[in-house]
Amino acid sequence: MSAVPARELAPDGPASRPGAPPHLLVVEGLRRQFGGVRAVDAATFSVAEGSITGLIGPNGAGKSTTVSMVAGSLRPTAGRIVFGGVETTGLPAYRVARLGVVRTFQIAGVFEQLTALENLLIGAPNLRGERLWDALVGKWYWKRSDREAVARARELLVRFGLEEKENDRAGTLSGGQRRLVEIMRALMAHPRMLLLDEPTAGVAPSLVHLLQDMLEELRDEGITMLLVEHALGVVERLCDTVIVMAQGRTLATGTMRELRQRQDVLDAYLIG
Amino acid sequence: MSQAVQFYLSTLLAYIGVDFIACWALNLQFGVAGILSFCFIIFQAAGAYTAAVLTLGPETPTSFQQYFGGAHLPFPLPVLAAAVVGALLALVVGLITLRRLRRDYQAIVMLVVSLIATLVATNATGLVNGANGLSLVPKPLSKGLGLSPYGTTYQWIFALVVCGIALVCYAVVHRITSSPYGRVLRALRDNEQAAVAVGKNPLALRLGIYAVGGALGAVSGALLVEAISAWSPSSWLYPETFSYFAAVIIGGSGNDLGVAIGALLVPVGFLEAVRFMPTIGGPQFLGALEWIAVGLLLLVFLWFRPRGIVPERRRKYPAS
Repeated sequence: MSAVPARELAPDGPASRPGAPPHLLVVEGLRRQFGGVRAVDAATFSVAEGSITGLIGPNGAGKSTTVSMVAGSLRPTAGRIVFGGVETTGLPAYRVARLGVVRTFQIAGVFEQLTALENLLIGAPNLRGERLWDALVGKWYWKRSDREAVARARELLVRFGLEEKENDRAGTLSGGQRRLVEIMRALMAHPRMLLLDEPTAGVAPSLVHLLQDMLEELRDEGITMLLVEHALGVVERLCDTVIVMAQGRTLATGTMRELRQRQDVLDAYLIG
Repeated sequence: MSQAVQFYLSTLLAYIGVDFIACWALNLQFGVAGILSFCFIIFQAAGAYTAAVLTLGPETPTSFQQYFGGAHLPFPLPVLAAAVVGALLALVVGLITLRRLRRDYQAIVMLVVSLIATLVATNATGLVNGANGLSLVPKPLSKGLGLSPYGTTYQWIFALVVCGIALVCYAVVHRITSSPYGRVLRALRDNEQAAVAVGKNPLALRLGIYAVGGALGAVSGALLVEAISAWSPSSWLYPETFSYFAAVIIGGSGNDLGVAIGALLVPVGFLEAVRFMPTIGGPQFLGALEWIAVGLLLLVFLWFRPRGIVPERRRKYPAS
């Protein structure tokens, strides 16, 4: 599965406590340097399977860079990432995604000229007809699997209340609707883990509530999430564990209640 | 209708078929996949040279032309060979440009590749006869049909053959653009990062379509050289690429029908209309005016109707 030799780890990773749920993602000593700047410096954390784990910190703390490295969009300078017991450090993003790690972006990444339904269909994995030869063979070869994917995409559109927008181009949707489309597309990929980069940014308050409800439902269905978020109210409601980053390092891990008591966390937010 | 008019119209029909194929090929690369294929014309040239050399026969000591690897292959084998060469060339160019470079740098490198290719073909005389190019390419099918290759009946028949091949090419293009593969390519064009984030491999997907575009571009060149019997470096200078780009953008990038309209308007209609204009200025003036007019038309469309005459259509799916 991995371009680098996969080193099998205990599924619960190095930081698990007895009786705690196994860790799906383990990040050790992760570093990313841009010239002379260390955007992420020895970040170490783990994410328990089936949890929503928050990743918070002031601007420039290295949260999005960390997410990009976990997703494979950025190559780490040092450190390693293990997902589901398989080392994914340095794998290209599409291969990380095929292992079940699907990300969303700070600015909702939609395919503007495609309809909302088509946006979702892009998320479907191993769809017949998505390779050149399949396409040349003809419609009879891929029609059935495409129809099944369309049915599943329509179910998601109904679930997220966007069935009316099925045939609208994604470029014409509001910021909140784009965000929902992005999350639905990620769900089409049957992810084991979602990396959500500020999912409530630019979303109307009414949709933020819907989004939070949806994320809770997804967690109940067993999808693990790493949530980068500035809105601490959202983090407090959704996250089981919260990791605080500051100046590229992981500063603290705990519940929001625990973190509020810590002076170093408060200082990081005040001083940046 | 006089023989001269019939000759002109049948040649124009062959040109229409050729330009349709070329514009659909570029539309696959640029309109559907979003690749700024600024070296598109080299695929047409590679196809034309391949077909010419494989029709002319082996070079003899008395030949007035110098070229490499001549053979006497019957029609349509030179066209099929051209398609293979076009696809292989596209794979090589694609592997160099699409692997690591950002989209704007890809465009620059492709433009440079186009310039280098023209210089090589012009200066390496032993390859495809240098700046003089290849001429007197035997007309295909004339012996089999028992017709004079210079008669109007033959001209019409060959033009219809070209149009028939264009229809086959359209069927291939339509299969691709209406399939899930076409959908993924349009997604990559709109937002590569988001497509990669759900497991799509951009290099593999783009290389495939780039090779198909290269093959079809080469087929257009092969048919053109079989129709007009000659090909030289002046036929495929880099501005020719931009006339095809203008056709695709003006017709409707990403829309097979729109692109055909663009092909009728720009490389056929617009450039042909200049022939009928009265001679004004110096001898080079009309040629220059042609490109100025195409450039201005392109600017007008990019400004006022950037999605073209027939924009890319929204695809709706039947109710389950």
